[in-house]
Amino acid sequence: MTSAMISGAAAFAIYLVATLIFLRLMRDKSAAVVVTIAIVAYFGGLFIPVLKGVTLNFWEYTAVFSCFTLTFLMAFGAIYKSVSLRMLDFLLDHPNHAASKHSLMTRYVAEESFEHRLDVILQSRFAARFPDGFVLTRKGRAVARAVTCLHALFAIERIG
Amino acid sequence: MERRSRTVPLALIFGARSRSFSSTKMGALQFTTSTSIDYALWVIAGFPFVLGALARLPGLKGRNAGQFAISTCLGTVLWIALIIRADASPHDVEIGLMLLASAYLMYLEIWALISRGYTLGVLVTLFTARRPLGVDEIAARYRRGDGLSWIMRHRMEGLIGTGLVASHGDTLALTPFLGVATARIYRFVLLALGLARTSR
Repeated sequence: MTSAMISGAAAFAIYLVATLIFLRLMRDKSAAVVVTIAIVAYFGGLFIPVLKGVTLNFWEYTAVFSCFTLTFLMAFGAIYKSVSLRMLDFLLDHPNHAASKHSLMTRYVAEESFEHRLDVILQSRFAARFPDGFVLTRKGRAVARAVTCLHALFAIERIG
Repeated sequence: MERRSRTVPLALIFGARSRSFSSTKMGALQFTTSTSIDYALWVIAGFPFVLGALARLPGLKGRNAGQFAISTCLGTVLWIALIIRADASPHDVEIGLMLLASAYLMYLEIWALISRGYTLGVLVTLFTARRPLGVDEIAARYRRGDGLSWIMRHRMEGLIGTGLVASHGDTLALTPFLGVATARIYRFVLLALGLARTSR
């Protein structure tokens, strides 16, 4: 193993420990925690050894750190945002581990997936709510336009 | 094996103040690439173009997951063919493969967001309507008119298809082994990560 690979693996290990600690301290900002710590760990792991006199290969360091970190982030994202997994969790609490489709639809699709998304859109100021309905703000239009362009580029017809 | 070498002392990044320090204590960042890394970078750069081209093939139209999977396979096969020709060392293959895997994961995150993101789906629904929409209208127009029931149908099909739940008339139930075990593991992972069970 080269020094760059060791630094990459060590930076990831530190990232993992820091993430597990900060996720408990800042429960309402989980997504921001995992991303911010990843950025700090990447640059810290890259520059601190160099400042200490170690010579590192950028590509080797980046390959090791990003491979581990992106795998973790992929799994974290699936767990953090998965509607399907939350449905399974919901069913586990019910007698015979069963519930009506209507109750699942109301709770996980109408409320959590849809109404929560509308709240996020309002809080992020992508849209504003008026008496006649939701209207995109300038920021919201810019994001929607960019997404529409990407859809055209990659021939994506339906999102969701 | 050919290596292209470029070393940047950290003093160049941090400026003149650190230059004197660099001669005694500072190491350096090397940007040396092997042929294996070069090929990986070329494949990474070409990936969106291949994906865009495949998405336009009549047989793959609308199959976002399939388009991504085929692009990944094509890129990997091309990279393997190139490194076999270049006779790369195991170490270089390892680094090239990790770079390639990282890029695929990053592309997958972006691809999943633009092709399946619910929040972006709502924004696009509002954008294409070009007029104020009420909650019910957004729900009905979601995914170009598929509506919210599509989400439920899609989720159910996925869960039933993977054997995690079974449908009995109007109810859904966890399958005795796989479904219950997955739900318990999910709950344990939430606990381990310190995530609230209501996280979204």
